[in-house]
Amino acid sequence: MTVPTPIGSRRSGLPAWAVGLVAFVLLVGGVYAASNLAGENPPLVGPLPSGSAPGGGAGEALAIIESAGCQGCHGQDLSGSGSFPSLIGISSGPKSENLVSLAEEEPDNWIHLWIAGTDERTSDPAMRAGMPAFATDPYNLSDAQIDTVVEYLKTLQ
Amino acid sequence: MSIPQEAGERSQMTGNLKKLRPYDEPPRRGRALVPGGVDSAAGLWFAVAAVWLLLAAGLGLLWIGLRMLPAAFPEAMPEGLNLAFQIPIINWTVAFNDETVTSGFFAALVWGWLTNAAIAGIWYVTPRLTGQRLMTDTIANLALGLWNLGVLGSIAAAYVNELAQPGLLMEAPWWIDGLPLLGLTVVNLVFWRSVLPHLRGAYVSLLYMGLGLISLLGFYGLGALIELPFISLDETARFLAAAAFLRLVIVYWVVGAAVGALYYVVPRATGNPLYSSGLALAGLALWFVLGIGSAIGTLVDPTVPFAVTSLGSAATMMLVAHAFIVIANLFLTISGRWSLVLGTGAVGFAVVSLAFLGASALFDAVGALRGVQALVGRTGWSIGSLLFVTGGMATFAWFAAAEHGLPRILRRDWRATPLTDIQLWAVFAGVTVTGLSLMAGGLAEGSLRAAAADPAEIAATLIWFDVGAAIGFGLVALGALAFVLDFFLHYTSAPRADYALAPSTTPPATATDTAPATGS
Repeated sequence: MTVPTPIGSRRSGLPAWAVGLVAFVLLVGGVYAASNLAGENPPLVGPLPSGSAPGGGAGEALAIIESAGCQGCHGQDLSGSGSFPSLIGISSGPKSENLVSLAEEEPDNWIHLWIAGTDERTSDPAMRAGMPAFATDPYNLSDAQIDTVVEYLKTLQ
Repeated sequence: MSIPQEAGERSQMTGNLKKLRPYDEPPRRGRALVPGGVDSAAGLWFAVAAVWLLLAAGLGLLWIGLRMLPAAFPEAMPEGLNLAFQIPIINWTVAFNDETVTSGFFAALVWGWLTNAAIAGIWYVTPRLTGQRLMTDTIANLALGLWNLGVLGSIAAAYVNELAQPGLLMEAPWWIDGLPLLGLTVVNLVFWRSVLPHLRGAYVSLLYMGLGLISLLGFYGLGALIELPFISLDETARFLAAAAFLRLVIVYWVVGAAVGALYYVVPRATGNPLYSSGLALAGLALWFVLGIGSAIGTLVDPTVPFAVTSLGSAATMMLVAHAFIVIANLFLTISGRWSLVLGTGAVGFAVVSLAFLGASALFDAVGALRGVQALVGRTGWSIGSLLFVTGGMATFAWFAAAEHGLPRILRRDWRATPLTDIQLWAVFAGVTVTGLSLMAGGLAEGSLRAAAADPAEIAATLIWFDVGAAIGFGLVALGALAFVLDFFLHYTSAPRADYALAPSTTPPATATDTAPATGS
């Protein structure tokens, strides 16, 4: 036979200090939520981190830039070469005239669209002036890879 | 000196057993294939959990070792260890690399050790709080087989390219998931059948454990559902689902069941009544409501409205209130019995668990801030924070439950030994060092990446944090070994003991009949 051995409690009500604490924490959370209603989430590029493979964001971006051959036109340090513009400081806007209107239309996404080259506003070969559309053959960069490169380029000052 | 005649007479009287007449032989007692005795389910699930703890500790050591390979041998293994071989005939590829070992490690830790220990604790607590034996220990033990075979299958699937699904703790395809799902269904059936008649006015432990169990069944089922062939989710949706699934399992099952155990063990082990049942129920309500919000906070993607994710992050921060309520309630319960905290008994383990609960809630709250997420996203920070909850808070809660319950389940005279000291201090130090190393490494990695540091510089910096984590894992493995040895030695060589019923901690008006029965 199993005999119940209940666990009693000294009090059943809520202590005042607990009510105050909970109210304070809920207030802090509410203030945080209220002050973070506008914005855009960064892209989710994969599952939880499983290792510290050398690179992370910048390293991965540099590896993609190297394999895609960006430095062949934009210079080893991406500061531009000949007619090919510098990529430094593009977080504040495009360096080329032909991208100004795109940047006005898509202030948060114009770099991605330009690198990918699949959008109708960026796929015109004449507009691209020899710059490959990296989302297509033979480069086939994924959205995640392009986002990684974009995030890295935005850090160049 | 023997006298031949007497010896001969004696030998005739004892006789040759084979020549005894049939009715002189004792009746043969059949042994059931699946044990069904009182507390057999609790004992067996705990024993299996202990084995899983050892396995998880070993996989953890392997995991941290693989993390360090690219930095330790940059020329020979720049991408780390990457072994793959094909299984003949079926042509499946078995891959052994950082990703697959991570999957195996977390599956062994959460599905193996924590879930088996939690269900063992539920089987122990339920009859003692309801006054009714489990619906059936036999079926509960059958569920043990179903669940653990399924978990083994899940871990194996994580290593096979053709089977592995994306997402931590979700690697198994739907047809392997069916087995542990069936096990969980049986566990829920046995639990609810035993508890439902006594649900009104049930103690808070049963509520936490019950909600945790039913939530686990629901989430696991949904996780298996989205892997069905006719459900097509794109890559982003799948990763979002995996992130939310992980958070839901951690908050509702891992934390919920462990808090339920602490609410049982602390009053029992101290002999004091719980400080406030109202406070406990308020904490339960907070936890249940904010848990969903916390999972929504993991949906960080442009397809999810920013405001929604922010509300979710706020819910994660507010879970600090739940942690503080649990800690305060239980510390005030211990009041007057502080000497128990210094020892290596159940209360000592429970206090360490509460410390990890507070720390992990604070780390999660900090990690939910947008700025911190941007810095430490996709680094070791999240794994360090996860280890604080799983390896710290939950593990010590089940250590406390085992320390309190196993002597009563196995009816052994259980005393603290040097192995218990090693178990407590090694695992405590190990989890702390590992968690802090990984989190600090995540901060360092995030800072270096933000400064566009050279990959080699990042790797050279991170390896020192990984060395710290490896030392921590070594300590955890030592502590796990001590726990298993202690369990084994007590079971095999400790003298038998029957424990008295716990003194009633209810007011005299509600005192129950104290007929000798199973101890609590």
